[in-house]
Amino acid sequence: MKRFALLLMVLMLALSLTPVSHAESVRLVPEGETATLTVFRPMDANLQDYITNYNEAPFYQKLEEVTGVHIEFTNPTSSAAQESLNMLLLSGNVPDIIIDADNLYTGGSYQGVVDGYFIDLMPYLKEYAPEYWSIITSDDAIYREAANGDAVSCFARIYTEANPAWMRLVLKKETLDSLGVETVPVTIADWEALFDQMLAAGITPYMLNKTGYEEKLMGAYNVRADFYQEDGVVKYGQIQEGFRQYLELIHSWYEKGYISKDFISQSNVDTMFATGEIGTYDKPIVAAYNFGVSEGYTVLSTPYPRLTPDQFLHWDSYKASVVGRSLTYSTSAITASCKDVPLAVRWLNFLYTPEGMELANWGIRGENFDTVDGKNQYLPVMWDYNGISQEGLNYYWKSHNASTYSDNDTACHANLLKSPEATAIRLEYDDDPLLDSAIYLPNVSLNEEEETTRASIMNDIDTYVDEMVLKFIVGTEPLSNWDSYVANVQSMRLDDAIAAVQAAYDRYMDIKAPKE
Amino acid sequence: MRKESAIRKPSGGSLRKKLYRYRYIYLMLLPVVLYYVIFHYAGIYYSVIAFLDYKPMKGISGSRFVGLKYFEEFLKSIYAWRLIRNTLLINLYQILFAFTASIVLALLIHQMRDNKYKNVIQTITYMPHFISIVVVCSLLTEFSESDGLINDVLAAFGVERTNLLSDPKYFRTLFVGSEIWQNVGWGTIIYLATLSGVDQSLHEAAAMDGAGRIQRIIHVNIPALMPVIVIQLIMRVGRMMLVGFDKVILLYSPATYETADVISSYVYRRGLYERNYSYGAAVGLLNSVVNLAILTGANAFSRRVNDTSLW
Repeated sequence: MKRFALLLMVLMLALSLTPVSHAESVRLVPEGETATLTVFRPMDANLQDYITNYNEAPFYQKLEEVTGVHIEFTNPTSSAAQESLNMLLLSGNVPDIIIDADNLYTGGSYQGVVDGYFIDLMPYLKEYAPEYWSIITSDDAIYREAANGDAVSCFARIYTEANPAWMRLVLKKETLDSLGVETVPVTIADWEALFDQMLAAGITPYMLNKTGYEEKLMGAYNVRADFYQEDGVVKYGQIQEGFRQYLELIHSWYEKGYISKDFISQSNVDTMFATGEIGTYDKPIVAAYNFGVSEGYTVLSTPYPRLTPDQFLHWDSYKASVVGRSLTYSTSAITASCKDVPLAVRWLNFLYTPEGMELANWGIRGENFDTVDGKNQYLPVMWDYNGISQEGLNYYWKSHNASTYSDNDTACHANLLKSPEATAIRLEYDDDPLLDSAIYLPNVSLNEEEETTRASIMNDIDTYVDEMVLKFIVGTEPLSNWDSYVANVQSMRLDDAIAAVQAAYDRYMDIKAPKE
Repeated sequence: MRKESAIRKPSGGSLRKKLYRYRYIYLMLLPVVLYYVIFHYAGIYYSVIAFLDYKPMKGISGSRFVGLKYFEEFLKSIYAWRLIRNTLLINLYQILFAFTASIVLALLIHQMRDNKYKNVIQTITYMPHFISIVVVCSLLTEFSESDGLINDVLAAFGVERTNLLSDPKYFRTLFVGSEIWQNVGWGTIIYLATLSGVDQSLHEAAAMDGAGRIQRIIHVNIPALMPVIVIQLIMRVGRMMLVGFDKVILLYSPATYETADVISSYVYRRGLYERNYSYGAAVGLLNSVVNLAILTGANAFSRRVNDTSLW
């Protein structure tokens, strides 16, 4: 009887494997042959304790199976990724494809093309990546952001619809309850009142980002760090009056003890929040919420801080574009060392075909997800498998934030789909009617001359400014020296750098998608 | 007789024969020679990129020659003086405190009578030397937090709690202090070896003349150590412009650049992180030249003053 059941199972398995014709259609190399590409991809920090090479991840195993392309990975740890890439480029031993090129190559992947490390993909896309080409040329706004004028430096992640914001100042409901506070703060004055109560209860209210920059608070003064634009005029944030007001606020918070004395060399912040040692910090909201659920406390999201409840904010960056170039792993460039560019282009384009999109966003059908009533649903392995952390599984079964065409996180991100509450908290305050991206500077492409100017000037300015910002906050430099600080920044030829970015911005706004 | 002369004159015979006879010794030498050739001499050739606008894709021959442009840019930048000052001060404090601490500890250990106790002390003081710098720096970061160990101790004396690593005032103290903790025991080895070689009759004679312990240390032990101390000091001064960038970048932040940013960490940021290879190479080369000058100067000074020198 047992034997019969076994035979039946083997038969059923064999039957289920028969529809091979399906797989044949997406192979990039003829049946029976294999090709090899070399790929640089930083090992995600959440996965590094479980695998050492991405070929161990089912996502890449499946990708190899269906495309017939074997990948030899270089997987440095994510914390050393930038140095590793710089060393590889210097050594001349460069892999064919660089994943996360925009973040890892100083100045972005377009500068990599200008410097000759990466190739311009424009001549290849129409022929070898028709799916990607048709997505980026479907709309002027997408084309501007995904292409770089007359060149295309990388494949970029594109959403069907902009992704809701994921970073929020988070609070613990238990802390608010113990203080007798019923609503989350809306204005900066509300925050200060809450911080006073936290201080009185022996809680360090706020762990500021270690750089001293918090865009949500800067946004209340209508300013963004580094370059931004106002009505088409490029500006540098750290010398604006709004930024001075921001520093004044943060400095007073530091003086009053609202901000942790350890913010500059902070460590174990997640634990400090979980144990109630600190009151709030900037954190991906769903990750914080899910962690709270597992630890038995409730995380609350908060709206962006404002000076008055009816203030219109213009600093948002999330809704500025459906092209997510700054997300980790979202951009993939091909290097000048690549021997078979058409194959590399086709391999990257695969994730923009229906089969590839399904694999990247959902994982393997039947194993990671199933379709129920015409809707895809993750299976439990997406949340719990072999002790791998929830965040790690997003890069194990599927390829979160990869260069692909995707619905936004509310549709296909396992962290959100874990529970209706997790989705809800991501969307809370996302429909803010008093918010737009008016001062956001898009992904402009500086030409070689402009970039040389910008880099040589901004290297020194950034060092000076980052140092001064922290000194202003902790008070080793009094804010009465603000004017001489601004004069110093300007004397370092800031205007020339602004002019370079302005020229690139003007070109950017004139770009139109090719019509065919 | 003939046999004996053969032994006395090993220089007799061809080079080949000698190489063969001492082949195992030469084999042992090989890795060291290779290390210097590959990492120190081959590198000299590539330092030409300091005079070029070096783009790796174009190679050394294809990159544009810019002469002293990057040297000039560095020396004119607002950071040049601060970097040189920080580098020199950290080294100076290390010589004043860390270098002397090993000598004092060696003298103290040498005075111990109980061998068991002596061994325990030695082992405990050597141990930190083998801990990875990353671990040491993580420990230091934790200890320096406003509720960390160091602050707990300071608070007991009524000092206000503050994060020590965020304040430029304390950076050098922490840097040199942790250096002493980590390497003081290791540094004693060479001095202890020298002290154990001191002729006991000198001590006996001094004791006979009525010299106490302190006097014997001053008049017997320290003079015996002097040649070693001088050689060590010259070699140490030869690294006057060098501070290992790894420890600095593990401990510093923009808030402490004022005292913490040194030439090597700056070269790392500009050269490797921002891929400004030529600029980094120019600053590094300048640093090495100054270093060589200091070493030569120190050596000449020592030769003139007390007849002890490296060459």
